[in-house]
Amino acid sequence: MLRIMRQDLIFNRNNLLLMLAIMSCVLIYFSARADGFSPRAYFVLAAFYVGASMGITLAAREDKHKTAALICSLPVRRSTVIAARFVLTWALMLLTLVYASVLTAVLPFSQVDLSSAVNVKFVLVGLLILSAVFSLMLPFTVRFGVMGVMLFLVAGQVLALLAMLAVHFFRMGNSSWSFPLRTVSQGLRFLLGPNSTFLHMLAVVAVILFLNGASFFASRALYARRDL
Amino acid sequence: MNAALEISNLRKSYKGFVLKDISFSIPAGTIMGLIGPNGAGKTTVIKLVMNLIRREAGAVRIFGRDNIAQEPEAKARIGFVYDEPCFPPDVSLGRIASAVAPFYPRWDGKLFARTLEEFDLSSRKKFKTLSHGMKMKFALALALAHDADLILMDEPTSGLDPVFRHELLVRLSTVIQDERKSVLFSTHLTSDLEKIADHVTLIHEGAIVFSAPKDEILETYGLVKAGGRDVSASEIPGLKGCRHSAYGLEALTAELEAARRSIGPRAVYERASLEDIMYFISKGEPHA
Repeated sequence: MLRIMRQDLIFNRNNLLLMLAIMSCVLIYFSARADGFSPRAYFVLAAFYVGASMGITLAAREDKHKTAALICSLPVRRSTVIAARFVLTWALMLLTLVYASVLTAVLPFSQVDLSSAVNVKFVLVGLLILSAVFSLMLPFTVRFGVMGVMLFLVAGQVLALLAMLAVHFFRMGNSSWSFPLRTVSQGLRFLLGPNSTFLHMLAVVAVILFLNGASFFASRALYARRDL
Repeated sequence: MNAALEISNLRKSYKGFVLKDISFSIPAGTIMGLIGPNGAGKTTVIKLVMNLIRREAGAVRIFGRDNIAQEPEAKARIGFVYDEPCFPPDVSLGRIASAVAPFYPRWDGKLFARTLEEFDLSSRKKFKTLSHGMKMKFALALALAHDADLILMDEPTSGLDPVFRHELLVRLSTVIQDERKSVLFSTHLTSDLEKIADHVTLIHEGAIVFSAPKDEILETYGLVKAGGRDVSASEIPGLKGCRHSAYGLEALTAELEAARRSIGPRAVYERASLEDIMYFISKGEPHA
């Protein structure tokens, strides 16, 4: 697995450095802007989002350059390739959080209070949101490559646009249609609020593990069945 | 004799194409040519051996190991040269090699550097700057550097200039001087195989036509040529295909000596080349 991770890092070095540069700009922007609501959430999400994007980028670039045939011709099982991608994505997510924290701490104009931003609740809720997004996105990427990423993003945006139009034109803001969204939003506020307990956080960890586990097994099955 | 590769009853179907339960084996220390016209199923066979596509039935054993159940162990002994090498375009050859090397316990960095030098390739060059021929050279250099016991090459000579084609064939002949090593070489350029192959497998429309030692094939197959209406195709024993022209009949037989005895001086007889065999089997009229 380490050999696959090393290979991914070598093959995608330039891309990862570019992502790191973009991420640094995004983080500098968010750490300088502490106005508006939840700058802490922005900070944590931005750090994780960019880290996770790097993981997705590896799979998408493999499809774009058709290097899957190379990787799958090496003496490794396809399940090991997917496991390596998961571990690498998680490692990158956690490393970007560390990097973002260091960057925010050393920036003289930083407005983010690290002790309040990088606390267990924010980190776990950030991971929960990103696990939900990327657990869905990775199987798409594994199965359909770059097209899968596009499909996922476009489908997400079209759904969001339809939801906004529905709320605006059909006054569905308070109807049962928006119930799931309101529930999720209230749930997240509750988790981040003072009333959430250790047990709630354990439940968040369980959901994160479940989402990632389900995504891992789905991605592994799809990759194993893929004809190259 | 130990087999480097054993394929038995391998099946795979696509829309409009079926690989029909094919079986053949490559003895260790030999070069096998896998020939057939475009679309015959050569690349499908090689991809099935590499487990790049899923088989529907059958088995593939590489030095006695199943290519799926014991995939890492089996693939560690294979050097694979793709018809269209697929390495990341913006990465230098040296970095690609450093990423691939740890997968192979027998990787020889010095041999790799020496082979690159022989092929006039610089490890600093990025993959995207290479021509098709240079890409094939690089893929071959990688395959040789990990001391593979079985080299699989999918159409390695197509699109190459004659000088490098010759160089490649000489190199492959050198490789099998070590009797542990074997080569499976798929191509439709049969002249290359006549120079180096020990065994030839002809595949046509997803089925094996024959898989035998090259010398045996070239001895038993032959062309029967007769003018006007002196000979009819149905008279020819072992008929595999024929064509009629203004000058008469030209037919491929798998029993040249039997044809000579049966038809006698009414026809002329020639040894068939692999190209003749491939042409008549894929394009000839079998029952004309």
